[in-house]
Amino acid sequence: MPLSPPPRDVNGEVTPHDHHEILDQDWIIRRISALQISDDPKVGGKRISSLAFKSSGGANGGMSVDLRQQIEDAGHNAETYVTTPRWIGSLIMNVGGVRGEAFLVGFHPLGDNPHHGEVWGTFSSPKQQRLRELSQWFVPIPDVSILTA
Amino acid sequence: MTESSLSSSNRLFYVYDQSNPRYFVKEPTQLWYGSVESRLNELVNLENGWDGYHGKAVLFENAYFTIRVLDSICRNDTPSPQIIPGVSGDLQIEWHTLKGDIELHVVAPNEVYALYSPIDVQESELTLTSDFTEVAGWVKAITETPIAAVAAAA
Repeated sequence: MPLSPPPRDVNGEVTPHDHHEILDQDWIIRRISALQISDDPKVGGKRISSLAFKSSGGANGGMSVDLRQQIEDAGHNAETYVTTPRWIGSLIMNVGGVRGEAFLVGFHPLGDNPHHGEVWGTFSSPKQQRLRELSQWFVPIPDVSILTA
Repeated sequence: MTESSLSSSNRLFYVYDQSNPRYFVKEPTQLWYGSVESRLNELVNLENGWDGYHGKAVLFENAYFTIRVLDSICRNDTPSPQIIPGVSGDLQIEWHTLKGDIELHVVAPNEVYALYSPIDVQESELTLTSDFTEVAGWVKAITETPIAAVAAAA
């Protein structure tokens, strides 16, 4: 079932919100590019940069995600959806777990991605660490650690 | 006989070789410069959506500022940092070694969020504009190879 439209400001921009139709038992997917991988000898090789767990900045900026339930409700394969048009890895996080860290999980449809969502909140160093701990590989990038040492 | 002079920033300023009496202006090779320049050139030319969403290329002004920051905090033999693009034209300079981590998030010129996480010591966070003196100390602490270790290896 399509989600209700998100709240918008006077300029038509989606404002931070916690969408009540995105349920705690749902999952969000965070795409990870090879450009966001750092070398770290403490994890035996490579790990995801902390910058991949930060918001985009700006007044309404959040961390982009894909909404798994909405992707699948629309009849798509989620793994295929998040690796199109180019192959990149992705992480998956439980919505309830993310909200448990005082983040908002909302809906922000885009022209080229109608199942786009966002996570809003305070992306401090400890919170970024918690997002790492809440994450699992959905489309793995081989030999890359999610966690830091 | 050769004489040389160091500028106040410890850069070699000139070399004078008496066997070939001429002055040569010489800048010592900075270990980190080539790979940083290459990486920044890659990042300022990223396609929109490089992150799978709406990530933008790193802004040129942030790339240029990064070079200036590294110039002020790195020794000639400092290992190259890694540079990670942000999604809004920003970038992050990172060193990860067995001694700890440094992350410098360049949001804009003169707007840098610095995080220092040495092993077994409480981490430090700073918001910086143009003075990176403290960060230079961090870089030295986690990237410098102890003299004893170098001697032992030899």
